[in-house]
Amino acid sequence: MTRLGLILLLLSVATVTGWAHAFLDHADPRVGSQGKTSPSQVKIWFTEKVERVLSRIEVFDSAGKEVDRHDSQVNSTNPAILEVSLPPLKPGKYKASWRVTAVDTHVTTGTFEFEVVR
Amino acid sequence: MIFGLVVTRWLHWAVCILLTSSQLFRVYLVPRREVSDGRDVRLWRDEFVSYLSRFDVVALVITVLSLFAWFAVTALNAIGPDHRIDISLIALIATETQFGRVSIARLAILALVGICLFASSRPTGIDRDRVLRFATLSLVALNLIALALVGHAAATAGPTDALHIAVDAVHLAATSVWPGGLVFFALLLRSTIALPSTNLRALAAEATRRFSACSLVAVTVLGMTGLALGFFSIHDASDLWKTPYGQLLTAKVLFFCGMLGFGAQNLFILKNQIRLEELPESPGHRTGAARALFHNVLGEAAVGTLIILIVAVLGIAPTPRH
Repeated sequence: MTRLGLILLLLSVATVTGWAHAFLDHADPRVGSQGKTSPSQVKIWFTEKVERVLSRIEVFDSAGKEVDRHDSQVNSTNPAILEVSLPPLKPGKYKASWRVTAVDTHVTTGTFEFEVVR
Repeated sequence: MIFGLVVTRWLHWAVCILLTSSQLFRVYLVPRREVSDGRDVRLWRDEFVSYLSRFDVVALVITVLSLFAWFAVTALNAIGPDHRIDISLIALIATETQFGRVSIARLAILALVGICLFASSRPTGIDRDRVLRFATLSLVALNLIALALVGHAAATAGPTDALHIAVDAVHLAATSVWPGGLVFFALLLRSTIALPSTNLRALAAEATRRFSACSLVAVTVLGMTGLALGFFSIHDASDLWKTPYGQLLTAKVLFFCGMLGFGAQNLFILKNQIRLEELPESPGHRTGAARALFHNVLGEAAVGTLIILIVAVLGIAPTPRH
């Protein structure tokens, strides 16, 4: 078993590929942006393809209440885009929170804010 | 959780490479059975092949178990702490994610490998044995390169994603020749150098010649594909010294060069010495070069263990490109 352990240790040299992580590339509405109209959806472009069943965006108002339509989905034409639709939003600050699993199974999370102004 | 991911992933990838290396070594590097073989060669070959067969069974079992372990840890990590774990969610991950689907396909491949290994253990004719060997080699190689479908390359978004996966697959395949074959080459050397048989030394010299040729090709392929993979993960050359990921990658390349140094000494000095020692007119002690080669291979292994420390950290670091 000691020999096998040494062999496995040596062979692990071959696992050279670094893990990737799906990070936010850009979003619509833009991170920290102020808009005069209520966005119909929050759309996030990630740096990598994400898994449909393990990725979601949630949008919260300033009171911490979830306001999105609970329909996060990966874009059908670009698997690196995740989107969730929104009802008409009242003026105020909102926080978009995302948790995604990239196709290589690595999980990342994050938040950003945007504001709807009169 | 990160520790579990690193360990299960490392164990699974390493044993997949070894399983492929074992088959490659048996098909291409263990000299074929000849009618003219002496009794000493026949006994050695039977014992060595028997050892490889036992190794294959153990490696296959570890491969399957580590695949389950890797899947379990990955699924737990992906589900996250906020969700209750139930069988339907696990089934969803197994059937609706790329990692799950590839894992199921690989499990099926490994089942076929088990059938081939079982069939090989039964008395067979030479032709059938050869077919089984090539079938097993093809299946374990497929199992190995399928890892490219669940790695970094698979998540690449953009026009180069297919190219990235292809390069990663070739890189993985090359590792089964070198350094994967290095392990079995060391075992072959150790099992022959101590025996007082001219025939076995000639056999070891022939295996050394073949392994050198294969290694040279594999190292060239590893270097080229490694460079290409570097372009996929490094945004700018300065990342190599300005970012933690790049610094680790640079250190890993330096250690890789150290392994190449051992390889160059094996290829240009020791291989020739072994060949000269096999000449009939060569007098004196004949095991010096083979022993030096064996020690060099162990040296490569030592450098390899240093590289694994770097790889383990690289595994949890985001690439500069992201």
